[in-house]
Amino acid sequence: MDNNTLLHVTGLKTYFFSFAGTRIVKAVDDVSFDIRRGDRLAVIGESGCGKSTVAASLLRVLPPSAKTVGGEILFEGEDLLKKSNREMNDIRGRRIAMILQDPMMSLDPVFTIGRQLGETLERHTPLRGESLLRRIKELLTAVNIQEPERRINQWPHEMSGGMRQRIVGSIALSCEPKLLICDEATTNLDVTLQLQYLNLLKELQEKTGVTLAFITHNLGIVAELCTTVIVMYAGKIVERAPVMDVFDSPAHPYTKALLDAAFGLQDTRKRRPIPGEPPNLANLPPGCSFHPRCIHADDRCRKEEPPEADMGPGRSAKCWHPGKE
Amino acid sequence: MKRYIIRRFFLGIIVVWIVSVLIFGATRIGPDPALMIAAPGADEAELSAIRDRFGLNEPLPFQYAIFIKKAIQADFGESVYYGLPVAEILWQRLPASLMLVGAATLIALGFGISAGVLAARRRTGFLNNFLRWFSFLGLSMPNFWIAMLFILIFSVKLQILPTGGYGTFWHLLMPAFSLGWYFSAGYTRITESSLLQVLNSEYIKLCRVKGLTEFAVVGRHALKNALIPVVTLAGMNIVLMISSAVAIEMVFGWPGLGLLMYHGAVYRDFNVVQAVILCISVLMVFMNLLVDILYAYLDPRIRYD
Amino acid sequence: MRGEFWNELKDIWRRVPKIAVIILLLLIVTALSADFLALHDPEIGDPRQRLLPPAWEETGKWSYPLGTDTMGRDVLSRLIYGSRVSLIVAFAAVIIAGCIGTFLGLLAGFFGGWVDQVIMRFTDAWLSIPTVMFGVLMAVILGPGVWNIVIILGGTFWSRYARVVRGETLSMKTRDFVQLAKIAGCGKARIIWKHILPNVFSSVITLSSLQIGIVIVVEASLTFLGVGVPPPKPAWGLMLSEGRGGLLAGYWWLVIFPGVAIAMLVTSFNVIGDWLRRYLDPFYRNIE
Repeated sequence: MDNNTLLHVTGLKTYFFSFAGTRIVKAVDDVSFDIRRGDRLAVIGESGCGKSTVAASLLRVLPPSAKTVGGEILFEGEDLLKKSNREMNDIRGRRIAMILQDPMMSLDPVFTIGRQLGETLERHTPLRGESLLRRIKELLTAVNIQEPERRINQWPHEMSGGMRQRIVGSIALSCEPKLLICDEATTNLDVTLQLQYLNLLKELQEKTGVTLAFITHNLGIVAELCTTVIVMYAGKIVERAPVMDVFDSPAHPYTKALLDAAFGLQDTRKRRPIPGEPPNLANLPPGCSFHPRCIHADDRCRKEEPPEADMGPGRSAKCWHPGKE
Repeated sequence: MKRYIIRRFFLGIIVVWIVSVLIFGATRIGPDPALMIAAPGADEAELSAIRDRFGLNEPLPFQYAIFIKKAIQADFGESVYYGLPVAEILWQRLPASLMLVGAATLIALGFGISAGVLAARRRTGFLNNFLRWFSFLGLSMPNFWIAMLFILIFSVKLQILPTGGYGTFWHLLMPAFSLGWYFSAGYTRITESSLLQVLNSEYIKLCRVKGLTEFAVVGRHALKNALIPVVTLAGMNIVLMISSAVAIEMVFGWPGLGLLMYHGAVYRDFNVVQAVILCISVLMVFMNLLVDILYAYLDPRIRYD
Repeated sequence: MRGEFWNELKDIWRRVPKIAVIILLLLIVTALSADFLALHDPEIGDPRQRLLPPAWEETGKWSYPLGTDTMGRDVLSRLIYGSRVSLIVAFAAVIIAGCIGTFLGLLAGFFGGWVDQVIMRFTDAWLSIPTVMFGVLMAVILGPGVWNIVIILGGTFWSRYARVVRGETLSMKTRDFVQLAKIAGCGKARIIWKHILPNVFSSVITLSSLQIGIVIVVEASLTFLGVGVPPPKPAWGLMLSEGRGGLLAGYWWLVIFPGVAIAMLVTSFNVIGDWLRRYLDPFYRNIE
């Protein structure tokens, strides 16, 4: 692992356990990937494919029913899974920050904006009093919030959705983290706000050099913004590639289906949904999980799980028939 | 918000008026009130003397008008049994009632909130089941029975607490616990459900992601949000407690409003009974209003609507 | 994933009410067959057998399994007959309260306007009056007696029904089937009776199961205070009030057993009510 790799994940397994421990849902199953410094990575896939669970596993903020049962998460050379909870608290928000998906609900309704921003800074930096206040205003200005003095004392419900989202962004960036994970961060914004927000993030990245990881099902964001793409299906990574390669020549049939569903070769008449149901993670089909929905599926796909096929520099696909038209 | 409060205030006045009619009417629908006030076997001359003294010969609406006119001036007439103005007796008894209700509220809130937090944080396990059943028991046992069980255990068997009376901290313990237990169940339930809702919210997730300590996440952010409904429930319960304490006050001989009212009913001292019930109803109506205002104060989202 | 989690929780919860249902059924059967179950007359005691402790104590006798009271009456027999009083009073009071409250709630919700205003202000007034205290006052005025208690409790507890039913009626009124019935020219009475009442019924049942426990406790309180069920009737509250005299002398069985009986009955109603509220009634948010 060279110095250029910010995050190195190998064999990550996060399972959900049912109440009595009788059923196990493999939400993230043997996932490995790297993020290089300065990258803009996209993790895409349908809802429930495990992409948000990957993000929660990285920061170790899983719900009580979930547990990471295996793997290694090396962040700047340190294994996050071996950290104590206290050490993790120092990393969360300080070195790895995260933006959650719902801007309307992400801010605590009974604390003022200034309090919520200041709290993060107090937790991670020695700033206090006047200098803290100055820094808060600086941060608000950086995300294009006008009149920061007034905004500091306002409540979340007094602001528009777009403003709240930018404030959430400023909280995330307040301690200059190395890695910023955006978990479906723009899903609930309307299209113009999305674009504004993404441009803002891009701009901030150029200023601070933060590495970005987007978890999304919006392929527009991916095309617009990202450099590398990871495609997840049923808890596994099925394809990884530089962004242009994914759009030009998707290797995995699932990636292709996703693209067809979203863009349909720029032609709405050809746009078609992916056939079949998203898989039930508690009861996955044998062999390749995607085979019931795949047009290329043959006997081998139904019986054996495909290996990861190397497709050139920085590219691979977990498929028996990679790149088949 | 201001208009809403004013509207609520006037509705409250109407409700208080209906309550006063009901309570006044209740004492007049039974047999001749003079018969109930008089000693058994009283002759006609005594009865008419009583009627004169209490104005019972006047037409009912007129009697009511006098009753309400005096009540507004905090004059509830004279107590037949004590021979004192009712308002004076009420003031004498109020401290004992408030002390009991205050202590019971502290106990109920203390237990209810901590049990609710525990239940919301750990959905399974022995402690949680125990607390759940503890709450259910509190709801199911008549409070005067709890009171007698306490006497049986702590006064008769262990002989560490006085069986009744009023005065010291030790006298307060058993009445307050037997009154508080029932109400703690409500606090447990509402704390649990509102905390669960809050803990699953996005803003709590954001607090975690920000790197706040677990203590700050639960203690500062989650509790401040989750306790809003608890505080409003507590407002209502404080008034409810005064009237729920009747049997407990009787068991322990605790000289509060409950015991006053009970003796008033038993000794046919209706002026006292009317006054206590009316005062508690009025308190209830305005506590409703106060709780609404408090809610708005605690929750900035409502404050500006 | 989430659905399965809840199913499991439900399975666990389903196990709890079963115990409660069994206890409740046992108590109902006891009340119905009191004449066969009781060993002794509940109202007439044997002066030679006064204050016997339960049978397992040294001086106890097996013919009086739970001991006897100050008048030599068998505690167990009185408990058995007492279940009759508790259940009859509770059911009758809840039925009366349910009928009054549902009727007024339907009227208020359906007609709205000044009808709604008048009924709801009355409901508010009833909700602000302290239940136990008002009960004591009314009981003193009406005089002791089982049916007077039923009337007092029924006349006190209707207000919650009125609130819940009014809320439900308001939301029903906007539903398609009610609108359609109106357009089809159904009369008002028919719409209320045929279309709205059946739909608010599940809430009324759920609320009843939650109220009945409170009614039982209030009845016991009034009786305990000496203004409810009159002696020598075997009511649990009365047994407690009589047992109170022997409390300091250590006659614990006169206090423990009637209380346990009340707690068991009320707990089973509460558990069942809680379960109904959570899983059967889709509108349970209206009932708190």
